[in-house]
Amino acid sequence: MSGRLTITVNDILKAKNRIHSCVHTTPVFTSSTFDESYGRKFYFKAENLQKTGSFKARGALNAVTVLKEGESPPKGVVTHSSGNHGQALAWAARMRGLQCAVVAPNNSPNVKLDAIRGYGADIVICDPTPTSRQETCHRIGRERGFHFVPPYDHPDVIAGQGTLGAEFLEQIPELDAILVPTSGGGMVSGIAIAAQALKPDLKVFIVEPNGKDVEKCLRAGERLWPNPPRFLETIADGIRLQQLGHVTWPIIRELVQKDVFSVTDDEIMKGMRFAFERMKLVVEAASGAGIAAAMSERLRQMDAALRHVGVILCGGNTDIDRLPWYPTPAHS
Amino acid sequence: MASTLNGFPVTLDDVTSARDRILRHLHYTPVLTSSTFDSKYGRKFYFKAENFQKTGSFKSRGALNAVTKLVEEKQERVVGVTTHSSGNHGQALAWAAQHCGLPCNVIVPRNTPTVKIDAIKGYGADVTLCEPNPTSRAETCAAICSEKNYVYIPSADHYDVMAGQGTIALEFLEQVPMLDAILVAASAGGMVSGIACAAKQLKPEIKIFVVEPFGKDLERCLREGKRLWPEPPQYVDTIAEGIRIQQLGKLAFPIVLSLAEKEVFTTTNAQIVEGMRFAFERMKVVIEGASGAVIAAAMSKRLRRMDGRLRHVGVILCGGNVDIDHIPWLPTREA
Repeated sequence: MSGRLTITVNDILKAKNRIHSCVHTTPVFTSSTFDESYGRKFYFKAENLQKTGSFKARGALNAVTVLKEGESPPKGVVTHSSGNHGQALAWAARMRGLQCAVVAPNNSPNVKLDAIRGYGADIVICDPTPTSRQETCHRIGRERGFHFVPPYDHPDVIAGQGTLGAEFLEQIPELDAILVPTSGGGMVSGIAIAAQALKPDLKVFIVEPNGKDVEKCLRAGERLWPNPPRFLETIADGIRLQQLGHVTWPIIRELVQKDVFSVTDDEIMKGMRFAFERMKLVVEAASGAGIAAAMSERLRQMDAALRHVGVILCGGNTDIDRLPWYPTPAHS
Repeated sequence: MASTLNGFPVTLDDVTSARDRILRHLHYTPVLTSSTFDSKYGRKFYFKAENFQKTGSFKSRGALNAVTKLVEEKQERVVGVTTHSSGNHGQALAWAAQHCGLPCNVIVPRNTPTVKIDAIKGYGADVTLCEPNPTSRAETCAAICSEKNYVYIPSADHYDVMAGQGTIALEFLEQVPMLDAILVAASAGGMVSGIACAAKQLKPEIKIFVVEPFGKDLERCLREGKRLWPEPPQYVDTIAEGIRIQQLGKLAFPIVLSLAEKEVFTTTNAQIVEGMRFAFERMKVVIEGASGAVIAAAMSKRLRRMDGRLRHVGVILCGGNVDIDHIPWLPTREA
């Protein structure tokens, strides 16, 4: 088992210095209704209000800034993405004056592709499999001299996402736990590294869609997922990856709680509806997953000492013509 | 036109007292900005997010001020409060009454969305249904007043309610002191009256612009200095249910006539939807039709052609109580 890359809270603080003038210090929302219903004090970190509509702006901008400030900056950057990282990278590249190409699956929502193009990036379409994403991405990188910035498996991306954890702890120092929707694991890794240094008692929990089976893997201490990597069936298009990344896996194994919150589509939708209806926030389904974990029986039964629980509302890039609780989409 | 106002019916003192009464129990709402919107529409815009307010709209400010002041002044002699409301004020009053430990009965038009009726009941108030017209609302409410000896707290035409709404302006000018103008939606005009009184006393050169749904015809009334609306009072046909009342209230009209700009931003249903979509899609906030109308005003050609010196423009996102199963651009879902 390889040891993990040493990404520390210092990397996170350096990331903060690089990005803080360009990203929002997002607000934290509370809901007395929610607290009464679910028996703890909950704090919702609104990364749906972040630049580009998700927390991904943090990691992307940190990574691009490091490249730009390096000895021989590349002409541009390239990535593969279901949307949010692609949008974030396109924005970050434009902020730092680099070109950008984004490889996206052919079933990406149009609203996400338009947003990426809106930041001046070039879209290259691939098949909707993780393998096709990666292969197309490497080809474009070679052909155009663009540097690959992956969505999660990169220390600068992880450190960028970690700024979210450091910020949250500054805003709510009494946090006992944070619930983090997880796909490749960049955000939960970054948050866990921040928490370990700043508040070692804080428990970081993964929230996953049904079928990701992270708990089984964590308890066995092994990557049990089948290969080649696949996507899960879930309405939460931002957290469809079944496997955690290879850089993120050892970090998560070491620092993140073995209890994993696993949520169904119905629960995700209920979480999303709560955000829309009660909090007046537009969140995408992955954020609904975080809220669903906060509403869960499993959390209800956990230690009452977890009095102050953070929930990451990771993004708000949902197609408003296709909200999941509507039977048919609008004609756009 | 000579002003019919003698001084400010709602003084700065009234508004700061209101703030002392209510702020502890309410949210000091954030101001949101959008660089995209600014680039597109050529000014700096500031969106005051009252959709995040307690009960989902700014109405809780006026309701809590009015009820708290009533209890301060009359003590045990108040047995309960009542009002008639299309939703937001009813919810706000129910919440305020519960907060002050008073019974509450809200009269609601029978075509009000269930989600709004449930919200009112959720705060412990009784709900009585009436016909969906202003006359039935007023009559049913008067009956409850005499039967139960409850005090009527109107949604807008009451100086204590206006003073509560005026606290929005206190906050907004603290948060964005360089505001040159504020765009405010009006139904009966309680919020625009309160905001105009407070803002003009703090910053006399600030311009208050009213935003209305198509069919309210407010600009004609303001330019002629007269209430030109037909009787009996009617509803405007608009998807923005919070701003359906055609007439400004009797107390509100002279305030708006004296303090607001004569140019009124009129918005169609299509424009209201466009404004709402911008908030959902780009700002990631849920707002109801009335707030969409104000965003539409900010997007309008009319504003575009106005004085370039209006550099910093406030936009009141008055509420977020939209039925998410009946979002206007989506097909109706069977509940």
